[in-house]
Amino acid sequence: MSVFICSISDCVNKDVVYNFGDDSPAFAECGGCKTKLWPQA
Amino acid sequence: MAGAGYKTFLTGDVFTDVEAQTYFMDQVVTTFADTTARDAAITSPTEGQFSYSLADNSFYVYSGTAWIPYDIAWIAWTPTLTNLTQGTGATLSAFYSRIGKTVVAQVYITMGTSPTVGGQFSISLPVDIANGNRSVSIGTCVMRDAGASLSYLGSVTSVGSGPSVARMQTIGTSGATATLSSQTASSPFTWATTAGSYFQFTIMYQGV
Repeated sequence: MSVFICSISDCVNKDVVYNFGDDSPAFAECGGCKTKLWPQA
Repeated sequence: MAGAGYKTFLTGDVFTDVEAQTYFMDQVVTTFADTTARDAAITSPTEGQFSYSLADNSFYVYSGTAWIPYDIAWIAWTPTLTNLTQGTGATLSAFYSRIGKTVVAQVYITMGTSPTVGGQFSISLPVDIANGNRSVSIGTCVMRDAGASLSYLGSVTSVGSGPSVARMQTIGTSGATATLSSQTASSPFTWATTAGSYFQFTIMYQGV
């Protein structure tokens, strides 16, 4: 399970939890601010 | 070693071993940590020049006016969802790849426990669509009612720019003719009723 959360203050996706389940990508691009996101521990 | 950039050698220039590596060798396809480092090193790219970005695993070719990406892998992204909060325990899968101006994306989004559904869903696209001033059919979708064990076929349309979004339509009939109408909180089924319901689509479109 891999979870990604953007913490950029003015991002439209801030604090939204994206659970990629079993896909487990190494990183994800935030759809709001384009920041590179790393999976949460 | 990352390339030093781009250098035009002139008659009489001394060609050192370092230059052989960082210009002659690495100049064939210059490799940089990211596109920011590339733009700092190559301030005047030439049409047809290639570079590679380690940050997003993408080749880029300079068209004469812009660096055009050619991804070597699918990129995960977190689309902005409007009119939908998935609920507890939900999962999402969203990946895309750019082949020049062509964007291909796959999306699979499930409903968890007690999702919040407000109307027709909007799913932001990973790259804005070209000519975002008009709606374009960009793919088909499957909407699965886990409670009734029924799958509904639909259409996906792009809407707007900055950001462009995808929206789904359900298929109905008018006499002998198939018709499309907007997906809603209760169409083609009541989304909030059963955890495990989902929608999925594969789309392809011209990016900006």
